[in-house]
Amino acid sequence: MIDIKNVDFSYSRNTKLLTDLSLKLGAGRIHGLLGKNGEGKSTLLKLISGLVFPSQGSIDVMGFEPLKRLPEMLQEIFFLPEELPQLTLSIENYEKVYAPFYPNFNSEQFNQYLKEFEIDTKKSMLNKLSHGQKKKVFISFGLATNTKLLLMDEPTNGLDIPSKGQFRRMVASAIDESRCLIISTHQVRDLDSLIDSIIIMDGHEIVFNESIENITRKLLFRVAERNENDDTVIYSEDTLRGLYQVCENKTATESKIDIELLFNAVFANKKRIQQLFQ
Amino acid sequence: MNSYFSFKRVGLLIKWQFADKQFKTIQLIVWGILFISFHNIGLQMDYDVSTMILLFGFIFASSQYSFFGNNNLLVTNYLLIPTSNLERITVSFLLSTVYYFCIVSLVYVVCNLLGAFIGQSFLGIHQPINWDFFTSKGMQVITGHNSFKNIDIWTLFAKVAFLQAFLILFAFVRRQNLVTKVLVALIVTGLYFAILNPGSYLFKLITGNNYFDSPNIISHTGAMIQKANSMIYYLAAAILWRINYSLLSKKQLN
Repeated sequence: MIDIKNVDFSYSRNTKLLTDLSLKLGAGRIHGLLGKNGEGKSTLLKLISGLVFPSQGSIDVMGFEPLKRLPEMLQEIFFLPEELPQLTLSIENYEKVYAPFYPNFNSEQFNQYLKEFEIDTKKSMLNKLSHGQKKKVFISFGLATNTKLLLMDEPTNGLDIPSKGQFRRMVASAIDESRCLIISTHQVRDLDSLIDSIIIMDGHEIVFNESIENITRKLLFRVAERNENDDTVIYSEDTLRGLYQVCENKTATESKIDIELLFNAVFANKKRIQQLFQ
Repeated sequence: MNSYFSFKRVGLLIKWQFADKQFKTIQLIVWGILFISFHNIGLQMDYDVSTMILLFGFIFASSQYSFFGNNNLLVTNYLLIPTSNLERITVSFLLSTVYYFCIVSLVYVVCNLLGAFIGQSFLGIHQPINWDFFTSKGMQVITGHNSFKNIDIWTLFAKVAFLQAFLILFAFVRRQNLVTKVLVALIVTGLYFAILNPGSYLFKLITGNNYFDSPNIISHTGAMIQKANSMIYYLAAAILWRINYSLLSKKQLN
C-alpha cells in the first residue's frame, strides 16, 4: 500500500529532517509509528498524504504519487493531524460538506462512533468544542470515511482515559484487510493490544520496523529478580516491582509486548536489536 | 473517474467554500458596503464605483486564501479535500471573477432601483433609474468607455480576472499580515492605472483624443489599439491564473 524509497526531506536548506528513508507498509494492519520529538514522525505522515514533497526519492501510495494530490488518492486517505483546525461549522454541517467527497462514507457508522464517544448532538459547533471532543468528532468521521488509508498523528492526545479505551475498541473493529492505519504517537501505552507492527524512528531514519508476531518470536519481555541477569538480556529497567527486561527469546516463550520497554531498548541497544531482526 | 476535473467535485468545493462562516461574513461585509455605496449613486452622489469594486474585489479575493499566510491547520484541511488542484483553482476563479462580477452587478441594479425609489418617494428627487452600470466616471477608468453599449464585456471580465488573479497570487507566495495585504492592494491598483491600461495612453498619444471621451470617433488605428489592449488583458489574465495554478500545485506546508 505504501512504498517509500530513499526519501530525503528538509524544511530548510541547511538541515535535513529525513535522510535516505525507505519503508514498505501493507494493508490490513495497524502500524504504530514511534519516536522522540522532532524525529520526523509527523513529517512522514505529511509526506505520505502529499502535504509536503520529498527533495529526493520516491513515494508510492496505493499506486499514486502523493505530491500530485489526485482526488482518487485523497478520497482514500484520511489524515487526522495532531492539532485540529478551528472550523466554524456544526458537526452536522461538517458531515454535510465533507462527507460527499468520500465515496465510502457511512453516516450510520459516524453516528454510532459519536454515540460511543458520548457526543450526543450534532448541532454543536466544532469551534466551541474542547480539544478532546473535537478529536472524538474527527476520529469518528475519519473511521466512517472508510478510506483505505488512515493516518493519525497523536490521536489520543486530549482524550480522557475512558475515551482512550473506546478509541482502541473502535479502531480495532474498523480496520479490515483492505485498510491500513498508521498511528504516530508518544503515548505508547495507548497502543497496547492495538497495533500489528511497530515502526521506530531515531536520528531521522527508521531504525526498527517489525510485526508484533516477529517481535514476540524474537524478543522476550519479562520481570526478573534483581540478581537475575544473563547474556540474553538486551535492555533492563529497574522498577519497584523488579527488573523489567527485554531479552532474546531463545526458548520460544510467548510474552506480552511492553511497547515502552521495547522503545527504550531500541534506543539503548539499537545495533543488537537490529542484528537480531536481520 | 476523471482525475483532474469533475463538475461534481467543483460543485462540492463551492458548497464547501460557502459553508465557511468567515467566508460568509466577509461576503456580507463586502456586499453591505457595496450596497451602501451604490445606493448613494442611485441618489446621484459622487462616488467612485471603480475604486469600490477594486478594493472589495481585493478583500473578496484575499479572503479565499487568507489562511495560506498564517494557518497551517486550515491549509492542511484545504489541501486534503479530495479534489484536484485544477478544481481548486477553477473554484477560486469562478468565485473571485464570475460570481464577484455577477453579484456586483446585481447589487448595483437593486441599489439603483432602491435609490431611485427612496429618492422619489421620500426626498422628492426625480432620479431616472440608471440601468447602465458602466456610465459612471469611475467605471470609465476600468472599462475605458463611457457607455455600456461600447463595452467589450469579455475584456472587462478579463480585467477583473487579471486583477483578482494578481491579488490571489500574493496569498500563495508570501506570509502576510493584513497591513501588507492592503499595501499590496494599493500597489496593484496603482499598477493597474499606471501601467496596465496602456491602450488609453497610446490612444491619446496617437489620436490626440481621450480614450474615454471618444467612443464614437474610433479610427482604424484606435480600433487596433483597443483590440491590442484587450488582448493584453486576455493574455495577462490567462498567464496569471496559470501561474496561480502552478503555485497551488506546488504548495506545501511550511
